[in-house]
Amino acid sequence: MKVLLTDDSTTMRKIQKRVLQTMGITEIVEASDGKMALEKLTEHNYNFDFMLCDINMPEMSGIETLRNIRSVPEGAKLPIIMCTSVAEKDQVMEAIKAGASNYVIKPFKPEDLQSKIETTLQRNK
Amino acid sequence: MKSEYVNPFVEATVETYDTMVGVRPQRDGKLCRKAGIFAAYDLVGVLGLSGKVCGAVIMTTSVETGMKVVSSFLGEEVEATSPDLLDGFGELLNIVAGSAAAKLNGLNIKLALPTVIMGKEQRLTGKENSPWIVIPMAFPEWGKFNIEISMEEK
Amino acid sequence: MSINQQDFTYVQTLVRQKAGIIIDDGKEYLIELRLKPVAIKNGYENVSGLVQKLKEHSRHNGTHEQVIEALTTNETSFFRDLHPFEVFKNVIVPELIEKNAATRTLKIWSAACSTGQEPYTIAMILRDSFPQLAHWNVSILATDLAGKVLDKARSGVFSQLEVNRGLPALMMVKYFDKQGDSWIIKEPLRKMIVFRQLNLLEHWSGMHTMDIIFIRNVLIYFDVEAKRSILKKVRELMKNDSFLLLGSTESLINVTTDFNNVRHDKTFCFKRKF
Repeated sequence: MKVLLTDDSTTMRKIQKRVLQTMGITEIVEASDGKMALEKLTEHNYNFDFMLCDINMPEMSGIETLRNIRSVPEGAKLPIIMCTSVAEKDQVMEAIKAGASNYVIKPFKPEDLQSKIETTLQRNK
Repeated sequence: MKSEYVNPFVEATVETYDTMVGVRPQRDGKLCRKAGIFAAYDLVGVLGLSGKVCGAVIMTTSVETGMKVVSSFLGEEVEATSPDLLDGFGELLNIVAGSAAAKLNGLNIKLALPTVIMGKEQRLTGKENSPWIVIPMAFPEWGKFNIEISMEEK
Repeated sequence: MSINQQDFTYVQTLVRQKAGIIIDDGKEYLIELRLKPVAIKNGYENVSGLVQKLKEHSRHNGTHEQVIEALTTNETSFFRDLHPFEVFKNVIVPELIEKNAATRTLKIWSAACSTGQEPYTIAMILRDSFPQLAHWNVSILATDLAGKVLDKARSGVFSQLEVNRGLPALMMVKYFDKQGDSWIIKEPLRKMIVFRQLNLLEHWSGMHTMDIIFIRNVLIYFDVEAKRSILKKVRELMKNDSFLLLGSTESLINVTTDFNNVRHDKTFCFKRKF
């Protein structure tokens, strides 16, 4: 499987990578903001199995990034899981309306992140 | 600053560290009100707050303690010179602030991106009419840290 | 910092033998995370030191118990394991809607419901996917041994952490209200469930036949005799068309032959043998 991680914190990306590696995923591409995420998506022809995405980032927020991805046909089906410290219900709703497949709130236990990824992929089949 | 703001930040701190780092810090002494110029630890993380409030939250600790914390957070040893130290510390502050903002949801708190600086003899300044509330805390084995808040409703 | 393969296998085996819990390969970080606090509490710097002690004291002592406890609690989750609930939604409920068309009743029991995630998951699925059931007599009974846990379940109040575990974002938004950092199940769903105390080992009073029974991940805590006695009572509550659902790693092999196994994809459900 190939995964795109988008978060402006290198530490958070490392933590997410560990979870993915435990899941046996080794092809991991990283982006530090929304703009870079879109570049990586284009570079890889949107050929990812899923994407984790922060919301509060410089350059382009996660919600805006999400909208951009969903606005192109190649990005319509990509499972996108928001992973953010923002826990407001309005924000969750906004993310869903913008096309998020799921939502993980920081702080999270690594096994819960893994579980959310697994169930999101299961539902997506 | 209202005293009701303190507990949400303390709870947020404990929950964040418990969930993501596996330790439960505790309050360590009385709150203090600081204005003028005052000392901070060598590692200082600052995160601006807006929305229905105006202010910021600071998390500050010694470099040694910071290293232990971030190493545990990351699951690998982090050196004092590693950019991961500052980044990890900032991310923990981001999560603490997000969690506190959720608890104080009537205030519609918006978070800025965190800034982390490291250096000897750090000084902070507080204005007389919007002082910092300093909450001393400590990890069970790694050392002390402060959560400091300056926040006024608009 | 990570646990080594030998230690991992040792712990994996210990938990499987003593508590019947299966920890999959690849979950080293889980063991590391859960056992680190236990190691520190017992005076060891890391998990390897703790495992060494476990190996040296081959007889069950407090440390073994602590390790098992650390690895087996906190497992309750919304939509736990997902696939049984997919089968519930796609196969079980539609079948029962057909079979019970005359009586228009649906009786569901969530046994050992703990803090309520399971019955609320059931309620959400019914609400979300079966609007026609609004005109039916649907009852969800949720029981547990511990009163405190039931109080929490009744309140329908969940923390961010609990909501992070297993709950799809869409459900969060549709069926929960937010207060501070708590997520509260909306009233119409709380009203669908009756929470009651029940000790699985004792005599069950006032229990009626059920269409669907969930007893997931609780039989593992009992020995074979107790399991048999509980399953006998469960059987009495089941009709021809009733379904029984156990935990994903549980089986009835060597326990009882009173049930027929029905398999849908990854999920096993059980029907009473007549």
